[in-house]
Order: sequence, then structure tokens, then C-alpha cells
Amino acid sequence: MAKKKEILKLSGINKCFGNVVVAKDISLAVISNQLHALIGPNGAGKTTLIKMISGELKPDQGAITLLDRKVNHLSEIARVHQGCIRSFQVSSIIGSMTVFENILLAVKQKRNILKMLFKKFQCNSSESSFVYQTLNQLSLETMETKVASTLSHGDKRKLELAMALAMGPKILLLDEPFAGLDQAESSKLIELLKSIKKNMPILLIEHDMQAVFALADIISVLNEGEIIESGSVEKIRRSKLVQNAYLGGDL
Amino acid sequence: MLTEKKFNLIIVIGIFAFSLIGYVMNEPYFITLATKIVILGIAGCALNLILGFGGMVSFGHAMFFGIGSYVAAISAFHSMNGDSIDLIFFNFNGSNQMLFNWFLAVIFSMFFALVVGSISIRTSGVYFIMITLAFAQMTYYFSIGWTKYGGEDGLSTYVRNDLFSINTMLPLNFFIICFACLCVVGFILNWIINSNFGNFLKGCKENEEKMISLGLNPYTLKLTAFVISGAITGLAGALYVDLNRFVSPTSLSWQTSGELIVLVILGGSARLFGPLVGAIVFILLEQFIGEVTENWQFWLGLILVLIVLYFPKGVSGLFIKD
Amino acid sequence: MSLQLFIEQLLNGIQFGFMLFLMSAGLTLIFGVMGLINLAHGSFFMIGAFSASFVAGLTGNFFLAILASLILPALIGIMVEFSVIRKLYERDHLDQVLATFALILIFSEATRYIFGAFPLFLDIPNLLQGNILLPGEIVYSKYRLIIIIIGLFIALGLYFLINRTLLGIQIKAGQNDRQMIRVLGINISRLYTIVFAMGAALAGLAGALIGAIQSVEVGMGEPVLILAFVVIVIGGIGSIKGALIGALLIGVLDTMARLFLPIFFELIMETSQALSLGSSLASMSAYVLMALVLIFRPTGLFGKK
Repeated sequence: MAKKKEILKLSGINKCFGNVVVAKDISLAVISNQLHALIGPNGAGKTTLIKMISGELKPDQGAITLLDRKVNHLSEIARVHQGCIRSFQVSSIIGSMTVFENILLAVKQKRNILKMLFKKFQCNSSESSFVYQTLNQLSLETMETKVASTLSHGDKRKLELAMALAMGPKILLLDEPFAGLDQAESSKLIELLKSIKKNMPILLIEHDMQAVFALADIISVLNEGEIIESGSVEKIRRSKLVQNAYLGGDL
Repeated sequence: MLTEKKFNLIIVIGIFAFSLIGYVMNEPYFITLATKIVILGIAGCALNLILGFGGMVSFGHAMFFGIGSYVAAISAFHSMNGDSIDLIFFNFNGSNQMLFNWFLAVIFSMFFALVVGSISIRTSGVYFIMITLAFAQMTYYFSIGWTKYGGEDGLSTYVRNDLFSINTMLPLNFFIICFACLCVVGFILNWIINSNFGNFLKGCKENEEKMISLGLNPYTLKLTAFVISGAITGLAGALYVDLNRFVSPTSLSWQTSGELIVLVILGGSARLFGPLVGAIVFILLEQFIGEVTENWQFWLGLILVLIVLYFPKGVSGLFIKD
Repeated sequence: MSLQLFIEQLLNGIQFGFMLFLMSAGLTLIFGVMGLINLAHGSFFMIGAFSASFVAGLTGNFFLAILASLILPALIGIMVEFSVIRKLYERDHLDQVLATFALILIFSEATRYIFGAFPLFLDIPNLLQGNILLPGEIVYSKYRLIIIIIGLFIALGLYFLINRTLLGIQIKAGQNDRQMIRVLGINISRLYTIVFAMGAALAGLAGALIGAIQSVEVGMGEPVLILAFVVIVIGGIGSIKGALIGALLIGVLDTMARLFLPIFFELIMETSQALSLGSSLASMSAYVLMALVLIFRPTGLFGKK
């Protein structure tokens, strides 16, 4: 196991939309080999936070540090190239292409337009082992020639995850990967993420508490743009503040 | 039902055979029709690169067609008149060489595509449609006001340009030149849509946000596609001048832009040579309905509406199986 | 140039602006509510002008003619909405552009078939002929003044309709959220038909009013249509207020550019060249304005992000 190292660090993030505060002095860190879960009621500012990390939105204040490098000024695309890879709440795969081609899109280099023009869209030998490894890891290997739009909902989510993994991320930002999955699919995804998190830091935003408690090393609870509690699964389960935030609901 | 490759082959051979028949039967008009099909087909296929594969509905592609036409025509015009254009470093005397005039047409339309594209691609959806239209309208009105080159009346070049020692005034020879251009353009476009570039372009059409999250810059990619498309459309424009030995502001008008879109949809936007099929259907309809009634556009309109509503894959979709 | 001439031209610009507004209001509503790009809107302009000149020729009554220019385009609008347009709402912009482009061909050829290729004329009634003396010694055409007044009334009427009536609430709901009108239990297809017919009627009225100044001919709608698109893009698609401001902006800009640019170019070149260059640059001015607006505000002046 590698040393504990802060892969992603947010310090003092503030963001307002007009008069509405969506992020208030947020600080958190994602450590290597750790799955950090971010939970909170609807409208707590989770998606805004992930957008700020990925670079779609700029924070009003505060620093975002990726691998000891401040990335506030970097564009979304530049952050992707730094290894900060994001998956979407709604499966955003390319429906008209096959599973294999979708993963190929993730693997191919995209910086040099000229090279892109002159290279055929097919797997070269160095890429193919990696592509098949990713397919196997997510047990999508039997569907590589299927057109993505014909996949089941669960398989689409898997493909979404596969594309993120195929990018060779330094950190994964997962935005509600469990949304819309049934019980069986959920437990499969939990197992999968358990194996992935062994060597990949993950920031997981999720509503499904069962999944969060099964997976998280650290949980931060966001409410009205503020982190009201942060700590181990046990600590969060027992926290009064958290229970109040969820309107007294059982966790 | 055919595979796309076979279908493309049949179409291309069919066009060639059509003009040969014209030659054998001594009907030069057939050859002219085939040439027109080929040239419009080139323009349509170029538009389809950004429209069908890239999802950018350019309603101003007549701009590049017309710019190609005007550039080639002006060069030929000066070569014929012998009066030169004073440029800062040298005097340009014009040229009667096809290759050179094509080159000029491509360079100019590329340049305009770069300028127009870099502004337009920042917008999307209906705004993209309208801003491309706006730029085309600007060039249209500019050409009307530019009386030196004919203004509203257009500009005649009287003879065709030269290519090596071929007699380009013979219809069949000129057809073969255009046909060769079509083959080259077809090869290039086929290469592009099967390259990494082309597949990312398709990806952008479907989900641009995702492409960003994969680390791609959609703006540069789309702009490059736009410039390539503009360049090829400009080449088609230059060929069209040689065919008609005449250019007028009509080739820059929004109706021409609309007709280019018609070619794409009529033939099928998902296919490489869909617009070529569109050009065949369009020209033949114009020809044969036009012989029966002078209101042929009424029937063209009716057929178009039916195709849009009930055959979204276009005419080529009827023959090609997925 | 005298101040009188300047003001007269300014009024002409405003008059042209209100005409553009009549076209753009329908166009922008149809796009805002149904998400449809309707290139065939110019055809209703033409149909309005032809119906007016036909009825005027038959009855000699200008006011009946104007009535016809509202009713006939609305009826044809309803027919087309039923048979074709309805199927296009769920399609992408490309299909809409193409299908409505095809409708232009159909309408233009049908009109040419019925009325022939020669332009018709629509006479201004005696009551509105001649000039009127406005304050400040400005002599201005009565008819054009009436057009401005009609335009003003229609703008006010639309404002009232959108903000004070049930139909207006439904239209607003449709613009903000398509799902919402379903939830509110509104009969969507009826709403869509009404909006489409209303747009067609306004375009028809504009055609008839303009037809009395220019000639009535096939293809008269398209130049106005393209300018109306420029208007709604500048104003922000879906916004009636944007359409009004955009229309007046374009109307005045276009008229003023036509007045001043040739004068300007005469200073530096010979007259005939100056005239043609000036007028062609004046035609470009609206598009230049639109490109500038889109560069700085990609969704227009009053468009939603």
C-alpha cells in the first residue's frame, strides 16, 4: 500500500448564486486509497461542489488542490488531463456507438487534432490490453459489440464507470452512480467499487445510504452548503446533527 | 438491401455510366446533368460532415460555395481581361489554370470558414443556425454591392479554365475532372469519419459535455471540421463556375444554403454519400417534373415534406441496411 | 440634410420596425412555446398580402381586405399545423428547417399557380391617401402613420394577452416548462394550434399592410422572414419584449443605414458606385448587428441562458 497522501484537497470553498449560498467555507480532503463519501439532503450543494472540483464552475473563494497543485485556474479539460475524472448522474454514454467504441473514446488521445485526423479509430496493441482489462474488470466483456443505447440501465451505469476508469484517473468523482439501480445491481456495484477503491481514491456523492455505509472510509455531510459533520461511518451514524439535517429520519 | 460500401459503389458507377450514355447517344445535356450532380454532391457531402456527423446545422454554407465560385471566377476574369489586381507586394494577374484557381478557392473559403466558424461555434442550436445564416447574408449583400465584379448581374468568365492539356470545353472531359474530384473528396471524407477525429465529432453531436469530461476540447474539434467542410464546399463552388462559366449572388443566397441542406436530408444525413444521392434525386426531379409542369417546386416541396415526416433516413436509407 | 427629412426617415424606420414586429411576434411565440423554427412564416406574410389584394379587387373595400388578411392566413395556418407542423414539434431543428423550407416551395408555387407570376397591387383607400402635417412642420404619409398606430395597438394587445388572460398564462407556462402545461391539464394541441394560427394571422396582416406600399408578389415574404429571424435572435428567442425592441432596432438601423451610407460613400467615390455600395452595406447592417449581439450575448438581449 502506498503512503497516505492527499490527492484532492478543498480548503475554504465559498460559492454564491446571487443571494443563495451554495457552498460555505467547505474544506475536505480525499486521501489515497480512500473512498470519501459526500452525502446530504437534496439541494445541499453536492452537485455544485462536484462541478467546482471538475472545473465546470469556479468557486468565489478558496483553493482546490489536486496532487499538491492548485488547480483553480485550470479549465475543465485541463483538470481531466491532470487525472481528475468525473462520472455523471445521468448515464452519459454515446448511444449510437458500441460498448467497445465508447471505451475507445476514453482511451484515445485528444490533444493533437492532426494526429486524431490521421489515425484510424481502432485499437492499437498497446491500447487493446488496457481496453480489455477495463472491460473485464466491469464484466462487460460479453457486450463489447453491443450498441450502447440497447444496454440495460445497470449496464449503462457500468459503462459510464468503465469510461471513467479507462481514462486512467488519479481520482474519481462519482456523481450518484447508484441512482436508478435495483437491489441486485446495487450490490454488484458495491462489490465493484470495493475492488476499485483499493488502488484508487474516490469522491462519491450518493443518496443510497446502504451503499455509502458499505463503501465509505470517511463520510462528509453537506447541508445548506456547509459541511456539518465529517468522520467515520460510525461517527456519522450516531451524529445528532446529521439526523436533524435529514429531518429526524433514521439513517 | 445493400451494404453501404456496395451502395456507394453502385451510385458512383451509376453516375459515371449516365454520363457515358450521354456521350454515346450524343446528348451532351446528360453529361452536363451528371456534372451538376457531381458538383452539388461534393458540396452536399462536405456540408454533411458538419451537419450529419457533427450536428452543426449550418444555414450559411452557400457562403463557402459562393466564395469559392467568386474567387475562381475573379481569378479567371482577370486572366481573361489582362488587368491585374494590385496587391501590396505584387500584381496578381489572375489565372486560367484550374488547379491554381481551385487552390485559391479552397484557401479563401478555408479562411472565411475559420473566421465565421470561430465566432459561430461559440453558439449552438437555433442560434448557430441563425448566425451562420447572418454571415452568409452579409456576403450575399456584399456581392450585390460589388459592382466591379458584376454586382447583382453576376460575373461571366466565358471560357473554362485549363487543366494540363485537356480540352475542358468538351463536356465529357470536364465531367471526368469533376468526377475525379468527387472520388478524392469521397476518399478524404471517408477517411475523416472513420478516424479518431470523426468519431469524436460524432461523440460531440450526441453529448458534448461528456466529450469534455473525456478531456476533449469540442471547440477546436468542431472548428476544424467546419473549416474542412468549408474548404471542400469552396472547391465545389469553383467547379460550379467552370461548369456554368458564370457566377452570380444567387450562389450566396439563403435559398442555396437551404438547397444544400435539402440535398443532405433528401439523401440521408447518416451516410457518407447520402448527399450525393440527394443531389441525384434533386436534379432528376427538377429535370423530369420540370418538363411536365413549370410548378415543379411545388411537387419537390411535397416530396420533401413527406421524406422529412416519414423517411427520416432519406432515400439512401431505403437501400442500405444497418 | 434637413431635420424634417431625418425625422421622416426615422418614422419610416419605426414603421418598418413595427411591420417586422408583427412578423417576429408570431415567430418568437411559435419558437418559444412549441420549440419550432418556422421558415414558412414568410409564406403567411405573402398569403395575407394576396388575400387582401384579392378581396380588395373583388369588393373594393380595403377594410374587408385587411380582415381577409387576418382570417385566411389563420385558416391556412390551422390546416398546415394539423397536417404537417404538428409532427415536427418533437423533431430536431434540422427536420423543422427542412420541412418548413419545403412548405415555402409549396406555398410559393401554389400562389404562383393561382395568381400567376405577375405582381398584384393593393391600393391604399382614399381616406388614408396623402400626407398629414405633424407637429414641427413634418409632412408624413397618413398611411404609414396608421401602420405605426396599428403596430402600437397590436404590441399593447399582445402585452395584455400575455399578461392578463388565461391564454397568456398558458403560453407563458409553455415557454417556461413544457412539462408544466401537461401537469396543469391544459389542452396542449389546442394551445399550439391557437398560437400557430395567431402567428399566421399577424404575419398575414403585416403582409397586407406592406402590400399596399410595395407590390404583392410571390417571394415577398422571404426577405422579411429572414429579417424577422434576425430580430428574434437579437431580442432573444421566445421574448415578445425582445421581439419588439429588436424589431424597432432593426427597422430604424436598416432605414438609417440606407439613408446615410450612400451619402457617406459619395464623399469618397463616384455617385453610382457609392449608391450601390452604400445600399448593399445597409442591407448587411442588420446581420452585422446580429453577429455582434451573438458574440457578446450568445442567447440574445432578452433570451434565457
